Amino acid sequence: MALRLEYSHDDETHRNFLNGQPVVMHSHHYLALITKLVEDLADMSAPEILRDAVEDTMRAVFDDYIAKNGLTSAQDRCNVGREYFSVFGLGKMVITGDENGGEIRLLRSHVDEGWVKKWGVHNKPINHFTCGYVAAMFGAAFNKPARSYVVTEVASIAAGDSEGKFIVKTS
Amino acid sequence: MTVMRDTVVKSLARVTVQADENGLIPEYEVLVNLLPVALLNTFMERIMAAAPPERKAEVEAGLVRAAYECGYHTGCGIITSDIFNEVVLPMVTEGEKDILRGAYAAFTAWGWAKSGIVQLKEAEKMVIRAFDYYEADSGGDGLRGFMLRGLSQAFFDLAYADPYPDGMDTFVCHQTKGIEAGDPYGEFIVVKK
Amino acid sequence: MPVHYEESIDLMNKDGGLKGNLSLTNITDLLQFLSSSAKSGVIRLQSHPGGEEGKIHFVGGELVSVVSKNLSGLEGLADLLSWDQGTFHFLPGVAAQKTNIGLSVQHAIMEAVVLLDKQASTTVNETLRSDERSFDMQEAERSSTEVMNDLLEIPGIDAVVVVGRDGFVIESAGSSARVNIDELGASLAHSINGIEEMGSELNVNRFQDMFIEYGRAVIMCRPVGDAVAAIITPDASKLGIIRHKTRKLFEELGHSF
Repeated sequence: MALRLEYSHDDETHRNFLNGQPVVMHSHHYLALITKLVEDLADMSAPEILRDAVEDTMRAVFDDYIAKNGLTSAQDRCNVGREYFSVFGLGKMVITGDENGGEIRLLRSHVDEGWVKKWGVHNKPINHFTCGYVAAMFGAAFNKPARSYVVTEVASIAAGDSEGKFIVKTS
Repeated sequence: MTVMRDTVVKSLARVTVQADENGLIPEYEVLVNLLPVALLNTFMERIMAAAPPERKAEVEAGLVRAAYECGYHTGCGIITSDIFNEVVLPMVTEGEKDILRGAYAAFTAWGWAKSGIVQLKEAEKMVIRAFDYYEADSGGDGLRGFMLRGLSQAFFDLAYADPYPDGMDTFVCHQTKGIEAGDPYGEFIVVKK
Repeated sequence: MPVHYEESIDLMNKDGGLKGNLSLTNITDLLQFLSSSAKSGVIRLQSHPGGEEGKIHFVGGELVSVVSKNLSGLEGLADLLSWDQGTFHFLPGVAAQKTNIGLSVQHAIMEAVVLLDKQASTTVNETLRSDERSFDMQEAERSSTEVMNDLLEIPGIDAVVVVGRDGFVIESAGSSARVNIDELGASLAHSINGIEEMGSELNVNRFQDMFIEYGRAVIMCRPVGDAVAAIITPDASKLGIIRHKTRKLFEELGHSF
């Protein structure tokens, strides 16, 4: 399945839209700094705040696409998240799993590679963003409410691994 | 001749970024992402809401910093890019002032903020007005133009401060008005730190 | 709040003239009123508190002669336009001894305002040169919005817009059914650029004023700081007065940009 992409531009406000959703460009510096910010504010549960914000907003994007295109199979619905991941410039992933959970291999990663470009290899995984993203993807694929899945990053490009790996379990 | 804003906006507004086979968007010497505005605003509001009063300034500074470094490093790539060379540089006759005019036209074209320069005293002060910016939709209390603050500070540093890295943080940007606070536009003032 | 002209003058039945105070009206309004009613005669003016005297003779819509103190012609008119305190007395049917202007009222006002602008610019430059400390003495600045709202109060002005040199519409007030304000920004910036290039080629200094008269609108613009302000008016009939009344407000607007 190839994602249908419709880019549009509002000539009055100059905002950009992808499939009707307002989107904006930033560089890896921005997400790397946001990631660093949540790491620094871990005592405020900032990593969880980032994960949940990503899960909730990405879920809305996936649900909107799924509804508009009448996608019913879990595989097609899951593919929406996988393909959007690349369209957003976030990298490339391979998904295995079912309703009860699964595993994601991150072959390339904007967040991790951006972190390494900026600060070099880190001593632990930092990709809270993708944890939230994957939770949204599984939730949308299997039509489960938010926070139905717990995603743990067990291998990390930012921490020196050749690929990232995320384990998905039901909560 | 100076930089004509409408020419820049028309030329850049329809440039769409496309990911490569690895799902990455290498552009302007950085990796670019294209994210839903709702995601950035939701995160900003939730992290601000979670911060106790004594730490709100720290969180705010972190959000501005993210935009500042993004603006500073990406800014170098933007003003040396082929598209900037092709569209903006031929119209530059007033040096840094015109580069900044071109930059704000680019910010407008790329949907960061429909903004422009109101007043510019070279290497001293710059007043920016924004009639639309995505952070104004965040729904939070108070002024929320953190991204535009960081971006404005970064570009003024690039234009008038010492070269990287010494010139970083020479200037600072304050937001004085905001659409999100009920004003008709957002106003951002860059001055020496 | 504009004062109704009829309220600011007294009808003088004895000599058939009009009398009034310059604090309630001003000379441009007075001239406009008398010329539009095709009157002929002389306006005698006396300034307060100096007690200086001036005279304006006109026939129908044409200014024939102006004298103010020891100045005459356009210089005299420019001097009288700067009076804001004093009295006037119009006497119909009094003819001038000699002609020293010979222009329509509108045209004469515009020329006199140009003269005033030149004098003001020279004075400002001299003041700046002689006393840089004058910046410390400036009165509290009003916001651009307040100044633009004052501009809109001037009869005949439909809209005011301030545009950056790059065409960024910084601020606008009022509206015009004749001109799209957003499109005006870009068009104005392109035009000013061309005009400045011409000024540079001809070595005649920077542009100071531009009037464009179209069939359905007149656009007048001036530099304000590093930006350009434009007003839109339906036609050229009030341009002289508008030009006179906007002068100080444009100067004030320049502090914001």
